[in-house]
Formats: sequence, structure tokens, C-alpha cells
Amino acid sequence: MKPYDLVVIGGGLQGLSTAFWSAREGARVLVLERDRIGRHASGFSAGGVRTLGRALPEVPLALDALDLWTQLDKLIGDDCGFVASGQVKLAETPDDMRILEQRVALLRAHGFEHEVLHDGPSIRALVPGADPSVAGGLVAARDGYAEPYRTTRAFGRAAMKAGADIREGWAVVGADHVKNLWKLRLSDGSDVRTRAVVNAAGAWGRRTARLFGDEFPLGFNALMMMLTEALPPFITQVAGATSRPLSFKQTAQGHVMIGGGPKGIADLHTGRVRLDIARLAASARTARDLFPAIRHAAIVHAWAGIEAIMPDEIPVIGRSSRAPDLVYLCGFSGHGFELAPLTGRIAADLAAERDMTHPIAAFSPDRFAQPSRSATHAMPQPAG
Amino acid sequence: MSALRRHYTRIIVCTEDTAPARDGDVAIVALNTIWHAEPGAVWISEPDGIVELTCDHVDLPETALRLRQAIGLVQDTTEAPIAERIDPFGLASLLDSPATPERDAQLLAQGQEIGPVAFLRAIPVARLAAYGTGQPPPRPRQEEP
Repeated sequence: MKPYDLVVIGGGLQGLSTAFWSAREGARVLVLERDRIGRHASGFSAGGVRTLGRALPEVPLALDALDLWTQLDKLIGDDCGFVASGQVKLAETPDDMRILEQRVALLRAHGFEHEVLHDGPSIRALVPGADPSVAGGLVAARDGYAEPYRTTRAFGRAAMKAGADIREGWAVVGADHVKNLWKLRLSDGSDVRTRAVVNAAGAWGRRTARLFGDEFPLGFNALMMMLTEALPPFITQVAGATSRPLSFKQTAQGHVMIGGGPKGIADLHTGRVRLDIARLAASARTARDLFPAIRHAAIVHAWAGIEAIMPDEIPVIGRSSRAPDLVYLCGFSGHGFELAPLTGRIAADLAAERDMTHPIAAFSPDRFAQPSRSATHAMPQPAG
Repeated sequence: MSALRRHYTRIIVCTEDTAPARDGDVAIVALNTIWHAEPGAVWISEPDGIVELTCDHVDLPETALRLRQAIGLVQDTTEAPIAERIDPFGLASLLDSPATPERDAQLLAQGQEIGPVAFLRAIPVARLAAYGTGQPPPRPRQEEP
């Protein structure tokens, strides 16, 4: 059988976006998903389309990705439910406000102006559902939210339409590089050959990297979310907090989705997750403190998805320095949803050895080989 | 953390008309007080708030399969109805639709797909928020060896 140009390992949003962009360029592409499409982080993301509060190296990518979100209908035939509602990061205290002021100053120093500081009265006028004690906030007006599973499926459909082959229930269990081709051994005993490989295996990215002789400290967690009963409309933006993890939005049906980073317990072997009720309760406290309207709302559902988490909470994007024709696109640490339309394109370009114009050095798979690697941003990013 | 937590050797989940009782080793809890459950722990809603009961062993009543699956204590081998996988956003509209056996089956299938759990019963945000105080430290990253 003729070798593939590219095999993408992982059928989440990142992998499917890579497959889409690669197939669109005429490559012969195969996606291997060990479980089902969008089964983990991609399907259970909070769906935040967020440039707000990004770690500095992510900001240029997030801004370019946001432009793609506005064009998805033309690009992949589905707008993925994207609503440019704006995102706000609320300051609960004067200390929070100082953090936000420093954040704006940092962004301005690097030439970014998409985050705008609002004082208390201004933010309360903009977000009337917020608690009156809110001290101010940061607003990214072009941000918004979309539907995660719909987005994942839409990229999958677009990739197939562009010619990509997607197989569910196929795990890669070994890899050998022979005569400039990768021979990937599959769980059913068969194998496929390909010129290039993209590791978009999410929380399983480290396990997959080891098949190719690579190693980096990719961990994982189960990111939890809650959904309330339907309430009368009281907020249009996606809201977060400054010093506490929160992603908060009201759906068109009135339900409120509360997420942003509280972590449950994941089992990579089984793919199962368990909720951490104490941390779920802390998330409920944050939401209750900032939005009085939900205090008596009933929580009707909670869930979690397994997500890869890097020590510095920014992704791994780049070519392997050890294995030829191997590209990494994983470790998004709960923040990959918004980036995916662009980062899939970047991975496709890397795999095809096309020129790279986006700044991705900070995401190198080798960065943890250097001593004293530390977090790149002081303000916690909400997941999703 | 002021959340109430008690450990028992054995928790017996009873049908709703059974009086709850507890001694040092065994707790009998009524099914209709369970808010959420996982292997080794159940969270029950009491007048004073949510209480976590941990245990070495749980005995379940012979209730309907769907209840046993819903509370997540039993990995039942019986095939559950398979619903088409939907977005968590889509779940919202499902929750709004009239409660019929078909809708419940679809919800349960979704719950199984998602992994953790539709709560057995809805609970107010304020009541969940009262389970503990402050901001617990972030759960550490899990890592494979």
C-alpha cells in the first residue's frame, strides 16, 4: 500500500485540524484515534474562544486563531456555534486590579492592545449580572465561545471532505523508522507507513512520544465542569476571575456552564474520570461570589475530560529534535480549543516542511531539557 | 476544610422508605438522599448540608438498572441504551425536554459516555458551595511514571 504523507495520532480537535489543513494542501492523510473522535478534552472543553489572559508566547497565535474563528463557516462549512460575546476577567479586590493593570502594561509593552481595562462602574455596566463588589475587569471584546463537540466533528468532516482518512479504535503501539518512512505498528497487529507523523494525542502525548524515543514532562488532569438548570438571561459574555480559576457563561438555552480549571481525577489506562467534590464546591463558591443570580440555581450535571497539562501550562508545538519527520502538537493544558484552527495549520506546515512564520520557539518539545524552566505567566489561565 | 466527612466500613443504600441509621462501622442511607456517588464514597444531602461518607464497601439495593448506573457505583455489564453522542451544550436541551423514559435513557447513556456522572439529583449552587470553605490548592498534575 502506498505510504501516507502524514499520519496524525489523536482524533481530538488539534489532530483533526491538522488533518484538515494537511489534506487541504493535497497530502494523503490518515488520523488514528485510539478511542473515539473528541472523546476526551476536545469534546468536553468549556468551549471558550479566548485570547484574554493568554500566556505571552500564546498571544500572537491566539489573535491569529481568532481571525480564523470568524471564517470557519467558509473554511470548514460550519460556524461551530461561535458567538463573539466578548470575554471578561473580573477583579474581586484592589489587589486583583493591580494584577490586571500589570497585565495590560505587559501586553502594551509587547504591542498588544486587545485586552482593555475597565474600572468598577464600567465593568458593572458592561456585566450587570456581576456582583456589585466587583472592582473592575479586563475585557477582550472579540472573544467569545463555541460548541466544542460540534467544532471537533466539523473539523473531522472537513478533513474527510478534503480527503483525509479517519479511523477510530486504532491505537499506535510501536514505531520504526526505515528508509525515510515511519512504520507504525497498530493495536490490531497491522501497520501503516507514512513519511511524517504528528503526535496530537493529548493526555496520551507522552506515552506516544516514548514510542519514538522522545521524552518530556507532559502530565494530565481531569478538568471538571458543571451545568445549572436554565435561568433567565443575565450575562452575555464569558467571564473569568483574576485570582481564582473560573470560566462562566450562560448558554442560549439559559443554562450556566461553570468550569475553568477545577481538576478531578483521571485514569489514563481506562480513560475514566472521577469528580473531586471539594474542588467542584470551590468552583461553585467562586461562581456564587461573582454572580448572585446563580446562588439558588440547581446544578444538574457535571463532567470532566482528560486533558494534557504541561508544567508551564503552554503547549508543545514543534519538530522532534531526535526523531525525523515527527511533529508535536499536544500539552495544551486546558487552553487549546481557541488555538486549534491555527495550531493544526502550523502542525501541517511543520510536517510538510513548509516555511514557518508563526513564533513557536517557546513551545519547543526540548524546552524542558534546559535547566530551571519555569512558568511563563503569573496570572492563572482558565481552562477552556 | 470544614466539609463533613465520615468513614464507614460498609454503606448500605436502601430504598426510600427505609429509615437511615448509622453506627461506628455501618451506615444505612436512603437512596433519595444521595446526591452523588463514586466507588468508595457517597455524598448525601442532609438538612445541614452535603456530607461525604467514605467506605470500604457499598451494598446497593435491587433498584432499577438505570439508577445503579446513574450513581456510578456499578459498572453494570448490561448494555445500556446507546444514544447518539451529543455536545454538553446539547445536553442542556435534553435536560429541558420532558422527562420520559426515553429521555432518561438518553441522559444516562450520555452520562456513561461522559464518564463522570450526571448527579443523581440536582442541587443548588449555594448548597454545593457550602461544602467546605476557601480555595483548595490546585490538584497536582498527574503523571505517568
